[in-house]
Formats: sequence, structure tokens, C-alpha cells
Amino acid sequence: MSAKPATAPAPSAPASARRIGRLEVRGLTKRFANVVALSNFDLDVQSGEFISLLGPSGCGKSTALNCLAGLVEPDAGRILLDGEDLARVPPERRGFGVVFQSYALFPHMTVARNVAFGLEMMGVRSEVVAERMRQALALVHLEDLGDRYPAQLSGGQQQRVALARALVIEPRLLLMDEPLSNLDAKLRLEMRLEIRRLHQRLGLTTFYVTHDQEEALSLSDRIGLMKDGVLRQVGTPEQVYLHPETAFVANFFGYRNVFRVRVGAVTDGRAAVTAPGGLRLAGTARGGVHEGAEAVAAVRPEDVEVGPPGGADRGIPAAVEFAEFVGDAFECSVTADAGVVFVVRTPSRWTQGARVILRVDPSRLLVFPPE
Amino acid sequence: MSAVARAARARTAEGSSWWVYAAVAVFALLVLGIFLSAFLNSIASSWFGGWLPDGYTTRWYRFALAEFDLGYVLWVTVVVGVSVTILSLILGVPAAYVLARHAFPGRSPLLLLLVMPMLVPPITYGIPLAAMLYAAHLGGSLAGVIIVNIVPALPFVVLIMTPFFEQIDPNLERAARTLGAGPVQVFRRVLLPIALPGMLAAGLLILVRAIALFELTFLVSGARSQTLVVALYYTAFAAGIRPAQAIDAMAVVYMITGLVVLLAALRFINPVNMVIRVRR
Amino acid sequence: MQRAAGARAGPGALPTARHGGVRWGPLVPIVPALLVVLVLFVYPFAYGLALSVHPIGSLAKGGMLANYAAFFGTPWERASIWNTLRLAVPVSALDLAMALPLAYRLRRPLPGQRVITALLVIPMTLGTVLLAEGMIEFFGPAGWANKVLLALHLVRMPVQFVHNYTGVFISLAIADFPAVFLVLLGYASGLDPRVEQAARTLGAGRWARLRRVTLPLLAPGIAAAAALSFVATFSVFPSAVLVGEPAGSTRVIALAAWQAAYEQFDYPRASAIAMVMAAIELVFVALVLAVRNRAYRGPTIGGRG
Repeated sequence: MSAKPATAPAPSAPASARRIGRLEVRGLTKRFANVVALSNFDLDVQSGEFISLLGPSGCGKSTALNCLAGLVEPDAGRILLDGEDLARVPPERRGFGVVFQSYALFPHMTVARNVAFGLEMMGVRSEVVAERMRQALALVHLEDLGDRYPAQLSGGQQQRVALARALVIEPRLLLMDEPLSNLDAKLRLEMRLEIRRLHQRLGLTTFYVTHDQEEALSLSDRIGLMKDGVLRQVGTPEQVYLHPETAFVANFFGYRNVFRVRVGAVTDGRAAVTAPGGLRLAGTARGGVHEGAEAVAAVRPEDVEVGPPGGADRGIPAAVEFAEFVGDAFECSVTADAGVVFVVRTPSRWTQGARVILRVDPSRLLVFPPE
Repeated sequence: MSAVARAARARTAEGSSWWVYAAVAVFALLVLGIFLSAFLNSIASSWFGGWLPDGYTTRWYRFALAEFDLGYVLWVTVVVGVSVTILSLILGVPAAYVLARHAFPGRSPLLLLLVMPMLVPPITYGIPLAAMLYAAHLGGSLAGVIIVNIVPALPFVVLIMTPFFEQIDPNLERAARTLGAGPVQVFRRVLLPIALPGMLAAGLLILVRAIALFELTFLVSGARSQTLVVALYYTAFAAGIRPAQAIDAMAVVYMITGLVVLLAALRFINPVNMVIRVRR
Repeated sequence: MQRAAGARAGPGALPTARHGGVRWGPLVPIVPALLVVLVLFVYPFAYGLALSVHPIGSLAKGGMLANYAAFFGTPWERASIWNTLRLAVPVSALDLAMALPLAYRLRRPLPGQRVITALLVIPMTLGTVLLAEGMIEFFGPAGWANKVLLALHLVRMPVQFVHNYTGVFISLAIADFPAVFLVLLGYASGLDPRVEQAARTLGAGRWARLRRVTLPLLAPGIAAAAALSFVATFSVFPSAVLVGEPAGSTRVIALAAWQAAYEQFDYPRASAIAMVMAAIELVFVALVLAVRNRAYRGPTIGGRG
């Protein structure tokens, strides 16, 4: 498809992508007043790749997207598209499609006018505009709603219009800024599938910003994790989920038990650590963990085993604070006698106050250098 | 009083609003009485002592039309009102947009400066401004009257349009930019159509005010550039030379001019939206 | 998220800062308006100020402040300040007191809402001159007001309502009311009803809700209305001439300034009087804002603020 000229789209993919080559982002930096929103941001994106930026509010992921879109001018850095630097090109000449969290549909235009807007700006002939608009609306299943105004649509429909409006211009890069966060849980799931389907069909290089780890994991080819304006780790969903490189990334992907520790001996990647209250644990050392240093240990609730007291094995003596039913299991808050509180996931309900023994598999307890 | 009874009373407390109707009725009756007094006098052949005039006539309107050159004065009023409205919108809307969309050092003092003409009596700057305009040979001219009236109108546009632009989602402009629209196209195709109701509201309000504004016009207008209010003041001031009924006839014409504009304004805009809220 | 900390221009503010500096380009559209205000307002004001300290005629030898000395030294001139204040302050207070409960109640729909607001706003179009003319008839010795009072045996002789202080007071009170009402209505309709409901669930009675919640939230609106009303009543003079006693008790300061400029052609002295007016006005606005700031200084609308 990439060999075809953009003016003759394949019938199966009306808003077919003009395939881009390589997008290289180098040293992108942006400062607002005294806050560094984005610091030395580097990223390479392959053609057709779906890449997500994930992080908590204020981590700089939206600033990164806005710099790519040209809506925020970076203080430093380059945005290279096949070697051409776009960092100072105004947004209207980048040809990127952007989907906003608030949809940003023009309230004074019908759905059809909204979708046609970008084509009209490009000076496309009106018969072609009509045809491509129709195809774009069909792509998001809104053929019949062209005459409605945005205010007459539901949230999900508005989101589809926003998608169609961004896709119809056959963008070189599709940018999405938290597109699902204004939708309720059920619609969010539905639209997630829709986005997945469109990406598979059109093969658009997509840059997706979200704070929802599930969304990022399910949609992305690769995920970039951000905190305080810095990209902390980039990798496939499996990589970031299974092999977090920092405590922050670990915490973001379900390592809910995180505590400060002091490192004892480190041998063969195995670290003996001491948690507050003198609790001794064995874990797997990540890069940069040294004997005698401060560190952060993290373990998932499902990787802490809970058993009745007694037995030969020395575990961590603890007491159950409370248990919550979470559908497929119970989540218990358990306080070790040494004072550390663990969140654990168990198949059975433990009564409040019950004495238990906790066991942590050393290969599942990750020890990171402090951030 | 029992707690239950107190609760019951509290629930209905907001519901009893007869006093609103009573207050509005008293106010409206007073205003209506004043208006009708002037109106009936303007169509009275004579009115001595009775509850109603002794007879009716339209001669005072014909008299006013001829004697006061009412047609010309009305034309001046319309030209001044419309020009002031359009010019202050052209000047004020872009300023309001910048104030709404950009944070920059000195924004608050700048806003204060732009709003200042509303906060000081027009006479204070009107007298030296009139002197300036006379020195520039604009005193007494239609252009001079239009120029002075822009001064109090401009803050109004800024005050109404700034919050209006603030409540427009800035992502609309961003979306338009990413779809290939340049700054001018964004303004023409996206901002202007959305801001039109606000501009209409501001424009009608300015029209009402420009028609009613007395002091500044009074200070700079000459014989051929009087608006209706000023002409009316001169005739009323020189009462005794001309029949009171003719003055009333002119006042009624003035009132109806203003009323038409105001009713048009109320037709298009909820008075709640005509409000001025200063952000700080 | 992309919003800069410290951007204060409102929820939609686009960050303008770059390299810690400012991009002035996007601010260009403000320049024409700024120029107009500088040329037509700031410059004349400064010109007036300069003029006022260069006395002419018999005052020319009296030094820079001779115009001011003459104004404050002449009881007849000085009295115009008092004549103005005793109209402007009570009229503004009365209009606020009348408009506040109405605006508060009308913030939520009431049958006939549109008609009611229209009736309250229409006097805007009357204009001071028509109001004055109508009042001369309506409140005159043979006017309807006196006829009603006589018919009801409330008075034995016609009351003199016009060509005195009362006439100007009534005229200003009516002319000024719509603007005060509109400003307050705007603020009152911005009140979030849930805030008052919350106060109620916390056990606050009607009076406590009004005093502790509603009035503080409306303080900015009350201050704005008071300031605007004062400016309006302070500077209007046609009614003082037409239904007042312009040679006596209602010789207001605006009239004094006008007479100096256009009857005696003494622009410097007129400018001095104008500056006194501006000073009094600004002192009053400052006072209102000071009182307001003691009460509450945030947005009337909750949430986003």
C-alpha cells in the first residue's frame, strides 16, 4: 500500500496512511516558568508503530505530544521525520492528525463539516472532499450522522467524529492525547477495540498518551514510561511489565508493595536487604544496587504467598488487617510483626486478626537503586 | 416551634416569592407612570389638572420633527451608535482574545488600564479630551463625537469578551491548526463564528449605551453633530422657549429608539450573559 | 498537564513563556486597543492634570495649586462635593439594597422570569432626560403621584417632588437600578446551589447561610456593582439640572466642572475640578475593594476557580 500515491486510496482503507519513514525525536526539552515539563526527550518511532507514553498527571507526556503536534514550541531539541527537522514547523504544515481528550469538535459545524474541515484547509476539490468525508465517517460507523451537530451526539460518537476528522487528512502521524479518559468504563473498552482495529487496518504510525496502564498495555507495540518530564523506560508491553528497570516503572505496573531498604550482601544478582523494623528479605538486584547502599524493594501482591503459621520454613510472621473481595481473589492488607505492611493477593478469605506467615520468592522481589 | 414545623417552613422558604412580584410591580408602575406622563403629554392637545389630557393630537411630533430637525438628529444618533459599536468591537475583540488566551507579565495591569475608563467619571478625561479634539479641529464634528464615545465603549467589549473567549476550549484552535488552518483561518473559520453571539451581546449593549451616553457627546458635539440625548438636553434645558409637549414628543422618540435596541438585545441574549465579571 | 504552573490567564491560557522569556508576537492584537486607551484616555487625563497646575486669569499668580486652593477655598464650590456625595452614596446603597434580594431570588427560574427581568432592565433605555421630563409631569403638583396621594388623603397639599434634592434622588435611583441589578444577577446566577445545600446539610439556618456563605461568595459582585453604580451616579449631571436645583442643593461637582469649562472658559480650573472628581472616585473604589478583600477574594463560581 505504501507504494500507492496518496490520492488513490485502497477501497478497504479509505484514509490510508502515507507511510512515514523514521521519526526520530532528539533532546526535546520544554520549560514552563520554573517547571521543567520535558527534559531531554529521545525517542525513535518506526513506520506503522503504535507507541504509548504512559505516566501520572504532570509527568510531561502531554507536553511531549504537544511538541510533536507543533502546539507547544520546544525550548530545545529536534523532531526529525525522515531526516527533516519539524521542530520549528507550524502545526498547520505538519500534516499530523491529533485527537484531543476533550474531542475539540467545532460546535458550530455539523459532523460532516467537522470532518471536511482539514480537507478544505488542504484545498482538496469539493467532490473529493465529499467522497473522502463519507469514507471517513463510514470507517468510524457514523455514516448516518453527518448532519448532526456535536452537541447532539453522545460522548462515544463525538470521539468517533474526532477520530474521523484526524484520519481523513491521511496524517503522516496520528497523535492521541488521552482520547478515552472522558468515556465511561464500558465505552472505553469498546473504543479501545475500535482504535486497535483502525490501527491494524490503516497501519498509521500512532503516538498515544495515557495514564491508564491497561490501555497502554493492550494497544501498544511499545510503551514509554514518563515521570517528572523524563522518559524512564521504553519497551514492549511484556518488557515493561515483566522487567521494570526502575522502582517507578515497577510501581506503575502493579508492584504495589514498595519499601525503602538497606542492601546487605550482593552475590550473583541476588541481594540480601533489610527493610524498616529489621525485616530481612532476599531479592533480585537490578543494575546499580551496591552493598551497604540505600535501595527500593518492590513486589507484586500476587507474588507474596500467605500461609498458616507453623511449619519448618522460616517466613515472615504477620497478622491480617483486613481482606477485600476483588472478584477473582481476595486482597488482604497484612502487617508483618516487624511493622512493614504488605498488600497480598490470596485465593481464600483470611479473617481479620488471623496470624499468618508470608513468603516472598526472591526472584519476584526486585531491588532497585533509589531514584 | 417543633423541629418538623421548622423544617417544613425552611423547605417552603425559598418558594414564597410574592415579594419579588410586588417589588417588580411597584418599580414597573413607577416607571410606567413616569413614561406615560411624558407620553400622554406628548400627544395631548392640552392637559390641565385632570387625570387624563383634555384632548389628543399629533401636532407636537410634527412640531418636533420640523423645529428640532429630529430626522437629522436621529440620523446622527444612528451613525454615532453604529460606528462606535463596530469600531470598539474591531478594537476590543482582538484585545480580549489575547487577554483570555495568553499569560504574560503585566497582564493584570494591562487589563486594569483597558478597563479604567469605566471606573473614572467621563467628565474627568472628557474636558481635556474635548480640548484636544478642538485643537485637532475635530471638535464639534461627527468624527469627534464617534472618537470620544469609543473610550467608554472599549472597556465594555474587553470585559464582556474576555470571559467569553476564556470559556471556549483552546483545543478547538489547536485542532484547527493541526488540520491545516493558519492563524487567520483559525480566527475566521473557528473563533469568529463561535464568538458571534458574545459579540452580538456586547454590540447591542454598546449600542444602548452609546445612544444613552450623555456627558462626552455633550462636551464635543457641535450644532450639526448632536445625538438625540444631547439635543434633548438642550431643548429641555431651554424649557419655556418651546412647548413642553414637544420636548416630551422628542423624549418619547428617544425612549422608543433605545427600547427597540434593548428589546432586540433581550431577544438574542439572556441578561445573565450580559454580565460583567472581572477576573483577577 | 501541559499547562504551566503560574499561568494565570484562566483555564484556557496558552503558555507563552519560552526560554524563561516571553514571545511578544501573539500579543500584537492588543496593540490597537492599547493605543486608543493611551491616546484618548491616559494622555487627556495627564493633559488635564498638567493643565490643572497651570492656572490662568486671576489665579495665575497663585502658584501651581491655585486652582485647587480656589476650589477648596470657596464654600460654594466646595459644597459641590457634598452635594454629589449625598446623592451618589445613598442612591448606590438603596439600589444595591433593592437589587440584591431580587437578583438572588431570580438566579433561579421563577414564573414570568423573562418579563420580570425585562421590566427591571427597561429603564436603561429611558435615559436621564426622558426620566426627568416624565418626572416633571408625574411628580409635578398636578401629576399623578400627587393626585393619588391627595385622593387617598395621605397629604393635604401637593408634595414637591421635583426641582429639589428628592427629584434628583428618585431620578438617579431609577436610572441606575438596571445596571446594578444586571451585575448582581450575573454573579448570583454563578452561585453553585450545591454550596448552599451543603451548608444546609451542615445545619446552617437561613440567616447563617446568608451571612456565612451566600454574601461572602457574592462579595465580588456587590463590590463591582457598588463601584459601577457610584461612578454612574457620581458623574451624571443632566438630572441635577432638569429635576434638581442646579443653583443650590443639587449643584453637583460634574456641573461645577462643566460650568468652569463651558461657561467661564477656564479649562485649567475645570481640569482641577475634574481631577478632584477622579480622586474622590478612585478613593471610593479603593475603599469598596478594601472592604471586599476583607470579606472574600476568590471566584463566585466554585470548582474550577
